[in-house]
Amino acid sequence: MQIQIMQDVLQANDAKAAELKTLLNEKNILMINIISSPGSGKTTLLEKTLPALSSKFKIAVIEGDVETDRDAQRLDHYGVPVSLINTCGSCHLESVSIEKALSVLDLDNLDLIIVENVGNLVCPAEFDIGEDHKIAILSTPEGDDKALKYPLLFQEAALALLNKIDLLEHTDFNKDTFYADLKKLSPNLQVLEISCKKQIGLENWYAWLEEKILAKKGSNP
Amino acid sequence: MHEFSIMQNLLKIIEKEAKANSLSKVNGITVKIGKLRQVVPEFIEFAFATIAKDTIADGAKLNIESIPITIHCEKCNKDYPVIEDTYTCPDCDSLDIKVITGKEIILASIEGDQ
Repeated sequence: MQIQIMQDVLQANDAKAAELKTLLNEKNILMINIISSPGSGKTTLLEKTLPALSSKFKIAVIEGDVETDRDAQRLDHYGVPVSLINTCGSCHLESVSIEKALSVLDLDNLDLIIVENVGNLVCPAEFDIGEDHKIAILSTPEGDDKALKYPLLFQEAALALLNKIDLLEHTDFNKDTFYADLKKLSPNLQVLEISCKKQIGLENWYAWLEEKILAKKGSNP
Repeated sequence: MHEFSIMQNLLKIIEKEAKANSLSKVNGITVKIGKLRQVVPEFIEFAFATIAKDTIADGAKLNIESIPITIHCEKCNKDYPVIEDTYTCPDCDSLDIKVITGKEIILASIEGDQ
């Protein structure tokens, strides 16, 4: 016998994500989900962002790492709580693991939670974790074809950071191709060109983030 | 790897539905997957066969139906298929569009013996 079902397979994850989103909305906490390939500069971006914004805002980090606590160690000296999730081989974070990570954070005393997802351009884009915004990072040495190759991330993202812009002349990355592809694929996506190493363009990123934090804080006075 | 995670979720729903319909064996499963999901059919089949081993769906045939990507233009109030990765309105060039299909992962039906 055949049984018609028509059920969304990721419903369990999405339902949990919606629950977390409601909780964070009640607490006026902005949560961003940073997604990129390994080595694009997620942890380095946090190493710049935490000292730049931690005097103004109360920040926590949820660190997704496949095996180690190395990224969490790198962030240890910045005086913000870091909640580590070891995915034990899994390629992305899901909302159930975020719920656990949130349970050890003081949600009455936070403005911003930065989730550093597992380094991967495909899978993390598939799973909502209750975040307000997904942020995509792409670095110039990875090549200008990545938006077309990984369309879901660049469509889901609220902002893309084009990192390692200082290395542009040493790579084959063609900015015209990249922007032309994005214009087709995700015409409303905002892109900021940055270099974490050389401190280029980071003030634009801080300003973007600050505006979102303040909007969230003011959303439910 | 996300194929495994998706298949684990799928198997949970299959087991629940099989129980609710008093099936003793599940022989076939039809899933509909949107093209934006970047799920590789071979991986899905392999992941499913691995995860379903020694369950009610062990050895079941997995049929995968692909759902094309379509967008809705808010200005024209019309739906269009996405051609060549272009997510602007083909009629009016508007950027004010929404992706309406292409992101689904749906368990459509199961087939089995009572």
